[in-house]
Amino acid sequence: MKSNRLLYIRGVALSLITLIASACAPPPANRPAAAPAAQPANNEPIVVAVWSGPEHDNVVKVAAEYEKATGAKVTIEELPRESYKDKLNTVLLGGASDYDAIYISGDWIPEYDAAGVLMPFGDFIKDPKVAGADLKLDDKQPGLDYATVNGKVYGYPSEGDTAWMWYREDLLKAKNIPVPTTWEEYLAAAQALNDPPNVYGALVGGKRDEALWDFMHYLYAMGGEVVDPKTFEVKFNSPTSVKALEYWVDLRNKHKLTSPDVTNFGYNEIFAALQQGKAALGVQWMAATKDLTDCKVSPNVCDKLKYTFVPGIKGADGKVSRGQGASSWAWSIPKAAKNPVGAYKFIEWLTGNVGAKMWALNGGIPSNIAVLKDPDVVKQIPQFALLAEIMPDRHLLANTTVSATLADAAHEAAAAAMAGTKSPQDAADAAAAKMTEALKKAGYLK
Amino acid sequence: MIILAGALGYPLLYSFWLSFHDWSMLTFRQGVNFIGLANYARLFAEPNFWRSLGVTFTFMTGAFVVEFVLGMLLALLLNQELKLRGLFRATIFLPMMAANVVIGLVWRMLFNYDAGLINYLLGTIGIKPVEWLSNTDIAIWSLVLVDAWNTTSFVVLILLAGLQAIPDEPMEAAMIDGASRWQRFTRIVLPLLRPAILVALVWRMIDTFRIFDVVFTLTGGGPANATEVISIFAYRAGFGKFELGYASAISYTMIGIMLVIAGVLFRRINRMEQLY
Repeated sequence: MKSNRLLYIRGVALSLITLIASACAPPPANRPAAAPAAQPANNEPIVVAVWSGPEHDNVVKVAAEYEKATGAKVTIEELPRESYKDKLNTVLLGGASDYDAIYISGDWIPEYDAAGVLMPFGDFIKDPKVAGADLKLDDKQPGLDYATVNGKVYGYPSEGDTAWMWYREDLLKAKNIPVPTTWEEYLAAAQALNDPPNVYGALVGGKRDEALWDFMHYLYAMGGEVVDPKTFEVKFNSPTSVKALEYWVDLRNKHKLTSPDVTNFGYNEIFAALQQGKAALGVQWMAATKDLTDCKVSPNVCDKLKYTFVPGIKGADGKVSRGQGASSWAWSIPKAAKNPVGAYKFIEWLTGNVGAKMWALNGGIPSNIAVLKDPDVVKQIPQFALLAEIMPDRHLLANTTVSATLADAAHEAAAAAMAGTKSPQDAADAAAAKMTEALKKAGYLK
Repeated sequence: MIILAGALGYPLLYSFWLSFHDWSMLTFRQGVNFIGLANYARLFAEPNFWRSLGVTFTFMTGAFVVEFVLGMLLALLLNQELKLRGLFRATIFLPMMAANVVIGLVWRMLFNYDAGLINYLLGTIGIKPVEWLSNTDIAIWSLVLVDAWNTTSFVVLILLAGLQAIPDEPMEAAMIDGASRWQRFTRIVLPLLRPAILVALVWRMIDTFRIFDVVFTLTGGGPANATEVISIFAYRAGFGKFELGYASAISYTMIGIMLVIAGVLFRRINRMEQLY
């Protein structure tokens, strides 16, 4: 009898500990004080947080060059892509000083600004002992604006990613099919090349926490929108947006042109499917270009897999109008960083002409305009010539303090429509309701 | 004792306090505002909470039924005088020693629709590939399968201990009276094994109710929200959106549900002990 009670108490206690772990956080009193910006760089290593994938591999290489050039020590910490923001949230809001520099998406910055967990760059920029003499902020536009909130610069843009349509040149040629330029042609080509389970005609990613990052290319290309970036009006359930969602979902559910498993596909799975030659057509982020075209990394497809513009809509005049999703990633400094000056110097170098050029040559898509126009870079990275053409067609998610909620609602809706648990219209309506509520609560909408 | 009380008591009390407050990233700077029962009201009005609770109970029930049936069969087998019994026992307990994250990742590869070993083996005997993780109706049962593979050995361990504690006399008397194997099992073994069964049930219920890591690595709660168990729902609120007050309310609701279930089951165990 006693032993059972003891067992019960132990069981309950164990469960309680586990259950409340998610609710454990330091009280507001533990919030870090702002570190003085002008303090000199110390001898501490600069600890950098970055998510897994090409950006991690890239910064490891560039940081090694920075160490050689300056003698500073840079430690790169790779965090899983799926839970990257969750980890950053915990560290930043918990006031931990784990990292000196963090890789963050521009649309996270307003939220972090509201929480007061990032260090503004203003004092560093003004201090000639810290900022480099050759610092050119204009070269960092328009990404710099995306990292600026209420006039405060919270990071230097590093990666301005967007997407390509990837296609298997060998398969298209074998059937005399031209490279698709519109979504009608894309569907027809995918149907003609669909040969499961060897090669699927198309490739999409409907993972619960990543679905929008794939769907957004179809959405913007077809004229849809998540939220109007100027008026903040929700457009996710507009007829155009729903039509785009239907097209994206139908590739799997109606036309059977993808692997059934795409309901669990995110960036990594889409990359693997392309790399293994499992898809004839697909849309994937430009950041994958270096690896997908490198025969050491992707020996099965490096000479067969090509890329071009994401398809668009052909107008009455015969012209194809385009649009595609984009991201703008920056390097920022947490307010609780141990070595903020060292971190700033590293970030300035990393995103400046020298570091950004290395970043580009390693496969990144630099936000530094001078580097994008550098003849040496353009010669070595052919995709940058195409990139210049699609720059005006890129769409970024609206920059708000509730962008995470907007993205989560869109992920959930797109994933539900892809899995067939909701119709595209119902899923979009449900997401739009959540987005509107969040935007109203945050004061963007009345 | 003081350290233990602090380590256990402080987060418990603090998160309980937090469940009545609004603490999100947007209000972080202003401090923590008291909002009464608003977090709980929001939770109970949230359809995704009830859906994730349903997913959790489906998973709990499915996992326990499978693990109990398999566990009982294996325990009965291992209770026999077999050659290599030690080797069998060690082999059965191996899955329990594997890390849950590794289990999730390995099973994700095994369940792959196009390249997974399971669909390949099914194909060799003419069975069409199964959408183990991508079909919203099947994914939860794939999780049950993985959980059964992982923790049936725990049920075996408890039932085997119970079987070995059953005295020989009633079994011998039943044999002399001409009782069949089935009669001996249903009328002697099962009743005497009830306390062990209930202990196994309680532990597995607690364990499956708070399951997180295997689900997170295997499906991440998908496809759509088909495998979003309550702990993943809480994780998304707590760490994805950083709404700590709301996440605390979810956690305390989970605690309440579990306390009720565990309390009922332990009361049954106590009654059993008084009877036998």
